[in-house]
Amino acid sequence: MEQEVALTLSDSALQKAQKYELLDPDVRLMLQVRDGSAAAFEELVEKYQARLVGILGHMIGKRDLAEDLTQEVFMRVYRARERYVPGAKFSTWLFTIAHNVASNAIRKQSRRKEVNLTNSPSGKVPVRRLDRMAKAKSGLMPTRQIDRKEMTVIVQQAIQTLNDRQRMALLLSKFEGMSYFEIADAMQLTTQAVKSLLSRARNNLRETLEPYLKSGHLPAGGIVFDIPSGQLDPADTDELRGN
Amino acid sequence: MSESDTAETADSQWSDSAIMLQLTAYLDGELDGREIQVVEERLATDQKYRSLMQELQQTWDVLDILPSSSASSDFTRSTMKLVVDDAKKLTSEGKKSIWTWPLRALALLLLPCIAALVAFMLMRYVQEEPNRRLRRDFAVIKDYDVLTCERNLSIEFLEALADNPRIFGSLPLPNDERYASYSNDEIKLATLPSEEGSVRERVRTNREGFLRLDTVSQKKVRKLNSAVDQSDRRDELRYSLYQYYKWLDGIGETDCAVVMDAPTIEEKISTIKKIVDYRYLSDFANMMQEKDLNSIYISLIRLLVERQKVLDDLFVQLFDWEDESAILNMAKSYTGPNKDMFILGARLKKIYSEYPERIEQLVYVEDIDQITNSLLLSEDGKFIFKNADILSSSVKSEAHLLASWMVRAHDAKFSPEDGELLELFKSLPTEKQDELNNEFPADRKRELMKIREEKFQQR
Repeated sequence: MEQEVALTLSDSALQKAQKYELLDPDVRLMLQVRDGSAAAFEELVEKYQARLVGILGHMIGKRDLAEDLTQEVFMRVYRARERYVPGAKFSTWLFTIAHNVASNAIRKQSRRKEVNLTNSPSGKVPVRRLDRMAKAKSGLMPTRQIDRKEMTVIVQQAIQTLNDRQRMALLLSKFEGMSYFEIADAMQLTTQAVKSLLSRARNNLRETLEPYLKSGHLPAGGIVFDIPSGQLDPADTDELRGN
Repeated sequence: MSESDTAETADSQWSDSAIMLQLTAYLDGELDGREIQVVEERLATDQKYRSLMQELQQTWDVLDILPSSSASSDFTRSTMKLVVDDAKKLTSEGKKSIWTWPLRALALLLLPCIAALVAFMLMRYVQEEPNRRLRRDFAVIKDYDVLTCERNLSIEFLEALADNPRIFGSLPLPNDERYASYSNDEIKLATLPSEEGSVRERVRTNREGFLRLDTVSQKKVRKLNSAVDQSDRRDELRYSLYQYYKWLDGIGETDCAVVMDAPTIEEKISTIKKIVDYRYLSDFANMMQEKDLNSIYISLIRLLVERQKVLDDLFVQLFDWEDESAILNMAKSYTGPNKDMFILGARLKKIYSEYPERIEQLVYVEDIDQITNSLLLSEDGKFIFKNADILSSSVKSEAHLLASWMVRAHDAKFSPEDGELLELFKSLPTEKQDELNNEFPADRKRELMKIREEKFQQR
């Protein structure tokens, strides 16, 4: 099979494949998967499941859905095994798939949200105010010290304020330690575009979180996150509500 | 806002954006050495720039607060099961689709074709029904005129005719173009050209006649044709039928009515014989009147072969066969035949008694007078083609006639080895022999002699 694949590749692609096979042990595992090794696939699942669940969880904002999406990513990997030719690090290829899966899921969610909005009696987009939720929990007025859990929720929701591409680029950079080049490869963008995306993402986050970081308190006026309905983790939301 | 303020704000924004890009890349380690140096120099001198960098770094660090994720404990197992099940499903679907798609496509393509073909065949079947019926009846239609030459023609009557092969005497052999061989395939009834006198025209006429018959009559004709075909004497019966048809065509209406009115087959045969004998005698008498020696010879020989009984009766009437003087006397009193004729007749009769088949063959040679490329009757009774020179105006003497016979006998593959003919030839004067030799070259004669000797040895 290797010979068949090799025959269909150009010299440069072949060299690239050989390079990644040499450098990346996960590429070698994936090649074993291509040749029918279930054990190699299981090893890859073990190795990447947590990272994928994390990235997809942050992308979608729903932990339970993240597991389903991670399974879908692995399913796509397995379906594509016979056509697999190393063209990048395995993780880059894997997160390319994850990015596509996440984008699809987000589009589906958006469509569902549109339906829900149409059914809303008021016809207005519901806006969640973190400060109101915080007040409901603490009962303190007008400010109070932010604890770690609250900060976690705030950061999570701040991430959700980024657009999909900024969010993915940020997550890959932060949690996967991927270079601009690798992110560009995974997201099928140019390096310059990734640079710009990350710059805007960091600046947006800075502007969103600045009040919390400087004072360590929730400001009196609160801050408004325009978070799409349903993107908050229910557990976190309940905790904020004091349930 | 003044224009200068707007420009300043835009510059500031551009500047902020550029700074953000620069600082982000710096923090992400994506700058090269020179760029890093530029950034660090500015960080050392620009408080605002440094604050911005710290805020960005702080924001970046605060992301670490996010909890590390982990999948559920049975994630690997459930994922592996999911993947394996999916692979099995895809394989089965793939196998299914490999066969179902081409089959479905083929069925979709073939269905209209099959429907069109069936419709076409059905239409053609319906349209061609009359022609198909005619093709089935073609054998009957081909001989329709012959098969219906008499209303009550029966297979038994045809057999009786076949039992009397010479009943009609010498008749034109069945080389009529109407009986040229042709097959059903060659003749498309629907597209027959209307050529006058052609075989097809005859078939066309026959077809019209056949179609005019009622169903019962059509069945009757079919039955007779089938009976002839299935008979062991098929060829004999066909030939007899054809002879009868031709003979009826040549006799007068009165004779025809007498034959047809005969109540039994035996009487019918007897009536035919009587009419034929009468016609021979009549022809002979007419020939006598002409006093054309060659014609008389031929007529006499024909009578001898075909109707010896008629000739015998005639001779008995005219003279005492054993007494030549009586013949001569009788000849003198008779307006037609002369001495030579009777001598020849007597000689021929003698030869005929010894070699009847050979003389019969010679008779056929004479019978096709004036026709080249005609037929000879060979020894085995079948027809063969020969370039038979014809005795006609070229026949100048008895010897010439006999010599011609010899040649034709050779052509007809039988040998004139008997002494009678050869002696006649030898008895000719030398100049006459030379004349014949010139006409029939020596090598031809040698060949003739060789064949003759071989035949002698065989006997």
